[in-house]
Amino acid sequence: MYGTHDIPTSMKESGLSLDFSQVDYGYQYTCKLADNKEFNKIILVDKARVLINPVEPINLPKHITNYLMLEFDKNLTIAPHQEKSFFATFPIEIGIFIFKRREFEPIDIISLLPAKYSLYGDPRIGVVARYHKTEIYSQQPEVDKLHYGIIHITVRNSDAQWNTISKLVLNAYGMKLFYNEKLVKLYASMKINNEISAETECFTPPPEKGFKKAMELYVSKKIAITSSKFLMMEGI
Amino acid sequence: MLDTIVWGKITVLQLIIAIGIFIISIIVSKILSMYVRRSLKNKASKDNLEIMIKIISYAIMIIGLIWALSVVGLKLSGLLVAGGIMGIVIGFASQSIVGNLISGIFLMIERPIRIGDTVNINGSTGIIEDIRIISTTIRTFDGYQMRIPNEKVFTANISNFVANVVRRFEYDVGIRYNDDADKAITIIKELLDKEPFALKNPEPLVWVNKLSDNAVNINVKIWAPISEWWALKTSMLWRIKKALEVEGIEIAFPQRVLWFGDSRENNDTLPVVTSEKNITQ
Repeated sequence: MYGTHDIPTSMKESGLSLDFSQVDYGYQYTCKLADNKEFNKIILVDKARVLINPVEPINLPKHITNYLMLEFDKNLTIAPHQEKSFFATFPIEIGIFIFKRREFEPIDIISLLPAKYSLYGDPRIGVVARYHKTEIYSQQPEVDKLHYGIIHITVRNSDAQWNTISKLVLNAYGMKLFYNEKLVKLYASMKINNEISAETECFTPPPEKGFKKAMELYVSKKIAITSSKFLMMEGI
Repeated sequence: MLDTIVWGKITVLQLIIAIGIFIISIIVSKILSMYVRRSLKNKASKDNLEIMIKIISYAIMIIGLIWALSVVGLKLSGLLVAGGIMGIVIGFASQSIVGNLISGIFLMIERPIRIGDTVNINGSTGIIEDIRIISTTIRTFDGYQMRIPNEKVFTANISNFVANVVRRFEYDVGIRYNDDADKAITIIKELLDKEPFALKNPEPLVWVNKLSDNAVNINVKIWAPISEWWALKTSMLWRIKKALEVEGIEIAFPQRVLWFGDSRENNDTLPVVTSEKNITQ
């Protein structure tokens, strides 16, 4: 399903059905979910193509935050000045873009997972974040690419003491997602400063064969991004 | 004609130049305000932007005024001396305006309220539309606009409903005594778990908090993002009621059983109530 498609076209996968059919005035886009919910949109264009790829998972059911919070199913205790990597999952939101020449326009965002929000920090200075509970994996797990993505997390404890982490909060702006036919990947780093604070960031890895970089929703909307880092000051 | 003296040593030409400078300073302040608003529209919050624009605007107008006064030969130092008694008179006459002005400056510095906040000021609830140098404007939920002098705002008890990123609300759900309260709690928790905006952390609290006259009261406390709490609060209670009813748990309503003395065979024995419909003697 992910990738660029000529329209009219129709596709179905994991209970999600997308259809672009030609009508007199352009195209009609129809999205059907497994629970029979349907969404329609009319696109006024003579000829265009569509791009379907994962986008930053902070938009549904409503864009109220820029942060994604991953809570690990187990606590991880890391030695002083140690650097380790592991895998976890994150929720997928699928962006449907229509484009002509190089002008992209998002027409729909779909998620096959129920969303949940959580507060990170205290009510006064904390942030609301999209919440996702994940298992920890030492090897890259196999997941349904329309439901979950794989996040490769590198944790570096820059403190002189042992520290324990149970969650990761990421700034979804500037998040670089990569995908192929089988999976969606994201790379993030977490630098532990002390027992209650850490600095997190999504980063771009060296090019990996067969992976394409996903169109970022907020770049396509031309929203200025200042920083992609997040400072976890209210516990790690 | 232009050399004609209009007052003291001030000529018509000086007066025209002074007025011209002041008008130009107003025009420049307006143009600059428009330019700053346009260029920083997506880069600064509306609240910060409006304050920045006001500071720039007032600063340019004050500079223009001082320049205009110097053209007609009035020096500020001279004005201060000449002010004297007149200054005191004007001071007394305009003390409320000055009070509002000072309060306005402190409101902009301390910032207990910001443009766009939902607040209650002295019993008036609404959304802050603008914080000006003399007064603050709020739009009430009935749709009318209210102007409150800044002195009143500054000294009033202010409740800012959106100062924090999340907010809690609660319901009391009264179920019948013969319903299973544990089951009701589980149903409500499952419902809240499926609701995206009922926050995972701080987690919702659902507990039996009172055995009242007619019902077992279950208290439900829910935290929600500040932008969503009202929509959630207005929808969640009915959803809880429907979810409980699907599982056969009903909301209790007040009821009282009346016994008349002549309807009993033995007036010395009180009836024993074992359940709503099963009464024995």
